[in-house]
Amino acid sequence: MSIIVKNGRFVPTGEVPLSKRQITIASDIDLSELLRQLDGISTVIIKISSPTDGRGNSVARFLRLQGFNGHLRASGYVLADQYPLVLRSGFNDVEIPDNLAARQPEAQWLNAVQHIEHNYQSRLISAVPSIGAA
Amino acid sequence: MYIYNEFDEAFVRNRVEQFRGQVGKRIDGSLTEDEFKPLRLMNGLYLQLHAYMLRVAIPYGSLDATKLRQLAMIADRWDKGYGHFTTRQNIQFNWPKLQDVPDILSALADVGMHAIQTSGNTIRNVTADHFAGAAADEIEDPRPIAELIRQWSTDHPEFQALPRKFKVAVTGSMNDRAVTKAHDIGLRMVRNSAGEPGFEVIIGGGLGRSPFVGKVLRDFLPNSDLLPYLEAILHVYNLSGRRDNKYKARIKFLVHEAGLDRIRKRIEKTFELMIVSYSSPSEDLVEGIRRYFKTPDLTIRNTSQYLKYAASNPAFLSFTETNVSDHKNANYGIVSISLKPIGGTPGDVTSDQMRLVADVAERYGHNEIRASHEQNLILPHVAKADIPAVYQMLKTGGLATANIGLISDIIACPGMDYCALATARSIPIAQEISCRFDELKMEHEIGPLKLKISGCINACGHHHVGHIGILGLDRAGAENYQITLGGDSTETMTLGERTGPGFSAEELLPKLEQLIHSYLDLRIDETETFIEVYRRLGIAPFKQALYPDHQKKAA
Repeated sequence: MSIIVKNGRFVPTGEVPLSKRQITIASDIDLSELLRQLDGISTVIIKISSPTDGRGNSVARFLRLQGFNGHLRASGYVLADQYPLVLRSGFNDVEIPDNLAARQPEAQWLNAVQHIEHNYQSRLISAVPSIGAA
Repeated sequence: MYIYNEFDEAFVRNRVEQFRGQVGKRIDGSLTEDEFKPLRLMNGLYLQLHAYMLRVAIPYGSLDATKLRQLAMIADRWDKGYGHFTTRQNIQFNWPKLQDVPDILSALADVGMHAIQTSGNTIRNVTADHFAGAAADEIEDPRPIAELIRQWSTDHPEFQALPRKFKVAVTGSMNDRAVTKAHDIGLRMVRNSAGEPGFEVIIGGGLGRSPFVGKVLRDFLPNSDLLPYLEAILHVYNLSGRRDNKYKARIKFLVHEAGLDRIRKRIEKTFELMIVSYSSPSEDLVEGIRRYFKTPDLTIRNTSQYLKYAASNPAFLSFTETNVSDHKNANYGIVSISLKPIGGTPGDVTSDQMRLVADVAERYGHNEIRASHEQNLILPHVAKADIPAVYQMLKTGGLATANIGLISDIIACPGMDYCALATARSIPIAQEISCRFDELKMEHEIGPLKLKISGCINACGHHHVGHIGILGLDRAGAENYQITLGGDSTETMTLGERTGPGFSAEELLPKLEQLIHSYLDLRIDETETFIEVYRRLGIAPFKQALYPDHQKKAA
């Protein structure tokens, strides 16, 4: 089925329970619509259909700019190499299907987050969150 | 120029290791080719007709002797002994092997260079006026801003998977040599009525299949608002740019389809949201960047030898008339090195030539070299007293062609000889044109004329903004070349007008000759340039010259 990547480690989905006050959205959601759905929600899961679809990161960023402090999860086709970008855009964790996890073992994800602090944007502007709230 | 500090150095080294890992994962199957593709593109590696092509970033075109010598070494060690300078101030190597690329990136990192984000759907190399910091007509040097934008855009987490590529250019002069109006974002450095520095922000320009002249998004953006404003533009584009059709995915289409006013409202609203949580880069950081772009010490040097030499040597005089531009210091000149030798491939330089330019720059050029979008190299600071020696040295390497701005100073894309996208060859056409007008000894008589050739509708040769533009297509299996006229790549950007049906490769040169002859007949005197005649008389007389039978029928 799927696995959660948390702090670079693989964790079974069951071991990272999320609040029932959650919504799952597609990356091309209309943002005004999203804001309407956000009432009382503490977890937003954003589906990522392809590594070339960068909208999920902008949606996450938008939510953080709007003051959303809840849990953000990127779910779907996220590559280990994109993991730092996803975290730096405001996501807390990532959910990937088992077949992707098989091709991209845990070591790759752990390796990817090694240098996450070392980026230009956190030096230049603080409007880009460097890591989503844990 | 900008020198890497510890942070920059660590960043590129890490990036090289990251890419080495990605190549390994491609080879062992952890990554499919489809998954590897966006990752390799983020590091400037294309797969082309015959081989991989590596596009190395030259931020705002700035090089020094050390960097240029390293590029020469790379060309010798891992390629075929030459490199190609592009229309976005980058350099390309056409023949690297995949397994060598991590080592090439490492060699680049050794001299503070990289190939990060030179391709892919991300923010590309930030380009700037190639005369920056030297031009007599400059209001302000755009390079510190270009460097700030480069840092901000490098590995920006939100903008690595945009709908399409994104190109930014900056100019600090009213004479726009950076083609800002043909960029996704063009920035013109200006002052408001209170004398405060800021930018005119232009959006949605671009050439390619659907050329658009950029529109003014903001008349005046204060310097301090630059980064959050760019964030806002990219954020809106990333969310709303089309992802269903690669040929409609640039921001110019978003602006065209949604309307400038609507997009402006969204950007300004997003900007308001971002500015709340924004804090500017520290003064230290900004000042730290500016420090690298101070004008070198330009000692006063006598110009009498220069004038004497020009008076006694016609070839050198000719060189000064085309290849030397006005420097803000009257004792100095900006020397343009033509990479368009008669009959050569526009923009190509051998490793030996690179080393020669490095030597010249070190000895006479305050160790500064620029790559221009016109595919030439520039020595921005040369004392006039030294220009004769520079000229002699350049001559030894075939780099003293006195044709800057003339008909043989052609911008041409690689075309069908190299590129999988091409529909026609462009390089042989450029070579023929160059040879012919040299043979006829007409170049100087013709005067300033910007001729640009693209080998397909993607317009990488910028033909839309050539005074004469040539577009090579495929018509029923044969190469067919259309001519456009009246294009302009400057602050008065204009898209060229198509004259009519295309010509075969054999017909093209005689037709161009007719076109040139009609210009020479029509001009008031020898000071009226081709583009001036075109603007005075319009396309009609030129159409007549190209299609005389058609005109007869119509009469």
